[in-house]
Amino acid sequence: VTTLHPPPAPPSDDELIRRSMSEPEHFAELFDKYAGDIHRYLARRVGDAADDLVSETFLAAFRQRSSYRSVHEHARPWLYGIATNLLRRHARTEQRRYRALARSHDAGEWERFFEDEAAERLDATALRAPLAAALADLAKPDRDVLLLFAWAQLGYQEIAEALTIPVGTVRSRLNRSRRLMRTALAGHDLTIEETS
Amino acid sequence: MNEITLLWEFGPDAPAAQPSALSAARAQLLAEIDGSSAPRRTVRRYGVGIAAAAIVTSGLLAVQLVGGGTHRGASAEAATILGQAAAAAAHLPTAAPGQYYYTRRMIETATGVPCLPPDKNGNTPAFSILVSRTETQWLPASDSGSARMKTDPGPAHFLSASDAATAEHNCPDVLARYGQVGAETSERIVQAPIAQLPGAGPFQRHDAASLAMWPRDPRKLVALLLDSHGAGRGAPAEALVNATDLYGDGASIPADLRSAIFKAMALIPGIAVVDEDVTSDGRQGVGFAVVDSQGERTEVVIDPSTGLVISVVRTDSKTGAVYLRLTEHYGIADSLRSVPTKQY
Repeated sequence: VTTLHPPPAPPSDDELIRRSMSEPEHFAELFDKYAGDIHRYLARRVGDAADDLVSETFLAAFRQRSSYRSVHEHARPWLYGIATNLLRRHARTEQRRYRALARSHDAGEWERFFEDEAAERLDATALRAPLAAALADLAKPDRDVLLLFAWAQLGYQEIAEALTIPVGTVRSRLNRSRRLMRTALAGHDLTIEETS
Repeated sequence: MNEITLLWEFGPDAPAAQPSALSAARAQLLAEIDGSSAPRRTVRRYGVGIAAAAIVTSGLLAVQLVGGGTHRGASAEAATILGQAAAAAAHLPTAAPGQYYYTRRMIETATGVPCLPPDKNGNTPAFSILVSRTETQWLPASDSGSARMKTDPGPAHFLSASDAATAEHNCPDVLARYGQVGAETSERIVQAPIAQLPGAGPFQRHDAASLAMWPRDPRKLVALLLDSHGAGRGAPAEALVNATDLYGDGASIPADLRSAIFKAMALIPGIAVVDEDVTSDGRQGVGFAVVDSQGERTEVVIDPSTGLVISVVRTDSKTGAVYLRLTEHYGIADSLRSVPTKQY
């Protein structure tokens, strides 16, 4: 097929959700738009359990769609909020995963370093273990905010919407978690910028 | 490099989403959608919702009108054809106990895919792809027993070189994901009464007792079809959708009810009849078309030699762009695993 044409503007997420109230099949379009991103976010946090959680996220979203309210044009914050809430049941799994990653990088990475001529890569890879250990030590509410910011790339207002908490709380949790991360990484030989 | 960047680049790796995992999650969502209590529309029976983008009619995907004209109301010729179809429907074989009504649908949907998140300038490029799949079902001849439902993905490809360039330049990650979605065959065998199978609704999935209760008088039947128009598209458009939903299980619908459905469709206010219609796979039939209040045209094509629905096409009535196109084949299978040698 070689016909060129300008694709029509896709409907906004708000519009899709509104349409799905009378024509539920439209909700599948939200899945197609966001399932990959949500899965990646969940997989970084709980590994293989993401397969089931991404399904639970969209099923929950579909069932809750009548209560959807967004100040944004897209449903990302809402979906990430549901996914993050579902992670509560997996808090121990998540923590164990980080601790296991910290141990595995401690044990194995140095051997590979000797085979790797890139010094920069060596330094950066060496941070995987303390990064994972620091994540394991964070309180769950702080970790949620930090990872929604770092991995889901949501803004302050979007995180507030996702977790239904005030923006001020987002700021304070993010500041605290970033400070703890910097402290945990401070002993490693890599420049950490001071950030507000 | 601050701690946020470090987290992004050197935090725990995410195992790549397996196509089967996303396909399974999507199938579960579609099953939930199918089972929801909202008013049903034909398109839901075919799985994926109509997507944002449409295929601009290029002759490739539009239902072609060959020879016959399109006009409102049933013409004398169409009435004759419908009469023949009703008569033919009475002679279709029926499945014996232990056999299965087999239906195979080839479905194509046009999907507009935005590149999200927006780029640093706030722009959201989009590209269009055509997704195809085949849905096959085996419904037991008796009201209980196992039913088998299978979905085989077809190729997803760009509609144009422009779409390919847009995707590859702006969002290769999104492109890769669309290459994976639906890439796995899904299959399930359900043991439930027909009325409780996935997709059941006011006009779908009826057992013999329920089918016996639908009126055979076309005027009474069209009144029932017109009475349920909850989706807000207008009663005539909903009535056509309801008729095709009622007809949805094809050969398992009793011949006299099938005949009544045809005649009722011809009575839907504002319906246009395409005397000679040709489906995308080259079969000829008679088409019924209604334009809804949002400008969407639904056309149902019936094969007069069998009295079976052989195609459904949904288009933008103003631009001719095709949103969805499907063709259907029917047969009687001897087992849940067999494919009928004779198909209609």
